[in-house]
Amino acid sequence: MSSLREAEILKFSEDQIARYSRHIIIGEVGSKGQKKICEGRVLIVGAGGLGSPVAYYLAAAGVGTICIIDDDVVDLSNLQRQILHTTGDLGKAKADSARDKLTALNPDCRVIPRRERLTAGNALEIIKEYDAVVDGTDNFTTRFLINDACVMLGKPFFHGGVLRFFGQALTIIPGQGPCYRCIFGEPPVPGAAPTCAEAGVLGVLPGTIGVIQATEVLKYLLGLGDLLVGRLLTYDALSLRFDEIEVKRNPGCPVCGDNPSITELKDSQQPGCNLQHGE
Amino acid sequence: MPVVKLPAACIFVHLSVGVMFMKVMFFAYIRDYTGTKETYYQHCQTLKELLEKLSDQYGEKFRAKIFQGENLGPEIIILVNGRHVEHLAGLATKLNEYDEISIFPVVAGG
Repeated sequence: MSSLREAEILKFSEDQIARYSRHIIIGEVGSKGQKKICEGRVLIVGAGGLGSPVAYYLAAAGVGTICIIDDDVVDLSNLQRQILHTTGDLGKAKADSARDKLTALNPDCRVIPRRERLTAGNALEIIKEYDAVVDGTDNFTTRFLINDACVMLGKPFFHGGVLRFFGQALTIIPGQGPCYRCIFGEPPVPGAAPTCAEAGVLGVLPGTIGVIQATEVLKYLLGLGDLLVGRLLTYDALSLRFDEIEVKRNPGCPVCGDNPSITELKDSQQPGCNLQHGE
Repeated sequence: MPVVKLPAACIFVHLSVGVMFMKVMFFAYIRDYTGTKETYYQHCQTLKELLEKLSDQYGEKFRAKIFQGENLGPEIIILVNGRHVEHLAGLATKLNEYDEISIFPVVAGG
């Protein structure tokens, strides 16, 4: 049976078959794989530099439900890299700006904008509704919160980080490898780590890392390939080199270890490097 | 024990006098201070001993990132064979022959 005929049987519309035809004709994806993507539910925390490319590519790929949580509004200094937003969006809530662009790109995609912060009080309730959680944050406090919540709920967490010319990505699948806390320990004290606002970031850099995160999410939804589990991928734009650091689960990790001491979420008193999401 | 590909010079020294080497890898802007992405060191007993030697070699800017007083600097992550030294014994972490040490900065932005 041809993959396109199979797509008809799986009740894809003619428009959907045309829209997703370049996926459907890939043998490893096919119409069944596209169906998995279309049934996927992804939470993106932060609609900034990383969240923008992740959201665009996942919406274009046909991910069925995308929730974007961000309490920030669009600022002129965002537009050098946060490609979800335009000059006309200045002052607008980033979550709403993201919804408008993603819905225009693919009306199949149900976009849920949440104009709020992810906190210890709402993280479990929000995250439990999704198949995958993407790191588009700009601060350690939220990253550790997402990590801990995802470990507790057994949800995959797709980490990305950028600064100046450097980026990194890691996929955390609870029970299959190290979590973010295994590798990064505790959140640095406020002011210890430079922010993009302080140290700068090459505009295209979150694009490179965000596209890797989106690739990982699609592979996860499709059940294809080798994920970045236990491999911290690092990228240096100046030398244009990728390196991998082998990272291992820590049996003594306070959240994913053999005897976890963190069993409930707490809002850290440390504001990380910035109070807003998706810098 | 991890398999480490040693440069020819290290293999020569190892075969001739039996010196063991550890591999130290640098990432991101740490390479601005070291000028290299990796180096090999003769076996040091502890992480602190290794970091002191590296700081002597690479200078004060490197040392300032690695150390904050008597402690590890807050901007730096150090893994020994893939494990964060915070979960081992910090600066007192014992090192073994052929250990692989990764040094990289924390990255906040997104």
